[in-house]
Amino acid sequence: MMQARWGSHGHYEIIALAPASPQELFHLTITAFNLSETYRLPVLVMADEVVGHLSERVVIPPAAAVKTRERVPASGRRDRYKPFQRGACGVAPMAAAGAGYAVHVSGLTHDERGYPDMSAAGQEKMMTWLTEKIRANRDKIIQTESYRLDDAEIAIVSYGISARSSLAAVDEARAAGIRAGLLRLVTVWPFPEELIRDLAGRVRALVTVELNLGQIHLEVERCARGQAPAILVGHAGGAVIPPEEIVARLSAVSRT
Amino acid sequence: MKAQPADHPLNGLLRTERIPHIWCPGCGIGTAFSACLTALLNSGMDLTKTAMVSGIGCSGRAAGYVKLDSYHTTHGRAIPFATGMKLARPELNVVVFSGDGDLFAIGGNHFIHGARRNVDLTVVCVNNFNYGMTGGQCSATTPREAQVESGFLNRLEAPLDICRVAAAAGAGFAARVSGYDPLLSERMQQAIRHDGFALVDIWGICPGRYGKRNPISPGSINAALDRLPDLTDTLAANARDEYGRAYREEAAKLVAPAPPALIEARFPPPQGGRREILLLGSAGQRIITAGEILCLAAATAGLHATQKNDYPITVMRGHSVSEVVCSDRPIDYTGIDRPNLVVALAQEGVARKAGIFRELGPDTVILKARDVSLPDTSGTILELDFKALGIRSQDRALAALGELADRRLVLTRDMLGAALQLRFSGRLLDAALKQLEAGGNSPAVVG
Repeated sequence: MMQARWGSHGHYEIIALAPASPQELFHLTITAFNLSETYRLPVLVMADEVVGHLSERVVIPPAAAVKTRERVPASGRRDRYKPFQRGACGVAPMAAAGAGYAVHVSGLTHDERGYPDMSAAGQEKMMTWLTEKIRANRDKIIQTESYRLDDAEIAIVSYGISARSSLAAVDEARAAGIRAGLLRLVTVWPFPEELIRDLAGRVRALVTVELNLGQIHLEVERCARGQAPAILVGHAGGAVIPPEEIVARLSAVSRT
Repeated sequence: MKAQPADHPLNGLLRTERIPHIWCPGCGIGTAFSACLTALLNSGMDLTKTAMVSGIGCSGRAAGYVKLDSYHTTHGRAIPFATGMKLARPELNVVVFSGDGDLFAIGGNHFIHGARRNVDLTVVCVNNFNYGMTGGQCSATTPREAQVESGFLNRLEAPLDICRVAAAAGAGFAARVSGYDPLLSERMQQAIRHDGFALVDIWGICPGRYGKRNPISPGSINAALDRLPDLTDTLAANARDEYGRAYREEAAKLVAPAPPALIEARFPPPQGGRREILLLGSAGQRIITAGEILCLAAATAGLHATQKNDYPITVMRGHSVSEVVCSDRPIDYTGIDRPNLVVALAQEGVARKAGIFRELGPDTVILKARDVSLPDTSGTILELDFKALGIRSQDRALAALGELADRRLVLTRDMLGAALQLRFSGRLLDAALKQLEAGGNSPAVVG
């Protein structure tokens, strides 16, 4: 999860999606292309091992029913076009190779013309823009799902296959008189910071369920800002986390 | 350095606002770059449909000075980038311009496969025998006797004759040429005209690094080039179809697959609620196919189903396990901790899941082959003697499904028949149906 977020040097924002089923893997792959086209940014589809290897019913809609978005193409006078000049939503219109714009694209920090600019001022300008383009559109990008959260005393935060165990755990916990709810992260990056912060203000604890030894858990803890304790239910992989294990933790938390 | 003169013949192809460039005075890159631009101008190609792709290094900066669509890509990855570009937009002319460190060392693997694949790319390499930009360390082409900044390392390794590598890998065009050869631009034009992967290996001087400690001159370059073997016959023998065109021709012949079947709920399921089924067998027993059939059968009764398989990475040895969950509600947790049903067809599968048997109570039905032994368990055991019934190892799983259907455990005969229709067709379907019929007359016994 963190490699998706911080897998390269320097600062940047990234979009990463976490499907919880083969059907969602299908839909989120389309979403990923659309987000990538909209924001001119690589988008990661983070299927965990179980979702990736699971067979399940998938309904594939007719191609005509799939909504696709395309990047904003370059337009206007070719001698005035700058390939990295901010347009609507902070995204620069993009000239395709062969469209006659003679664009230069470089992995080096660059100016609006695409030419290398390694100065501190140049880096500040470019990286602030690239970061802001995603930060300013967080509300449009971030997708989450809530389950029985409205009156929850304990909120589970989970994603991928672990969110399905968490869903079962919420019902089992409720049956045992524990008011649990689930916030499922469909978008993991950018992280729904405000949502977690608000949640932390109205629950007794936040329980992160994930197939690692605590990565998103640390993000949840950070966003909770001490308003509620952040607790991890995680393991190193090889099997899905059983709902019983989550319920046991919820039960222990509810007794404190 | 002087500003670019206003009347320079190559100005139309230069980002003149970026001149002066970064290359050292006397660097071989300048000559190679201007010869490349001259070749492009003289080629008669539509230059708005021409792109230059560079990697990293001094030569990699060429893309930043040429007034074409130009891409300064990651280290060693110019060829894969250019390959993608040419395949996505075959109307483009794509020229890769980079150095020996980038193309042959960091990107050596991409180079070999580029030559092997034969996409129509022109690869122009300024080969100056070292990593100049990073301080003059040895690259893949550094001669053993050279003095470079990485100490003795180059003395231990044989330098690559990259044209010989290209020829061995399947390139149809590979030319070694001195950066001081008056016919350099003509050689590049030949490479551009070649319909397929073409390499121009330009030997040049790096005055700032390599040239400082190694006596190198146009004359010594010519002498070294003359000592290398002629590749004409090998290159001629590599002539074949350009990859992109051949790919598009082959792809056009493919028939689009039928859309996936929409499975209607047609039958009542034998039980409600959630059912967890564990199929345990060995490689070659068609365990995973049986899991698929079980899921399809569940779908014909309007049930939700998940299947997760476990087998060693190889497919002809070891265990084969399929975990199937069927439920009349959407399935949240996909794991199986206490299965309702275990089908044990081979010892390997049982060994893989040995830990669960102890946990099972009498409400779990275990359908086992007679020749399979189980760990201690309180599950209800049914036994089938496949050997006595003359059922082959690879047919056990389907026969077991037939037995479960007869007992209306998880599926029915109707569901199984419909699932087979969805999974198989033609001869395979006939064989499966026939086998099922034969197996139906020999019920399992309580073990």
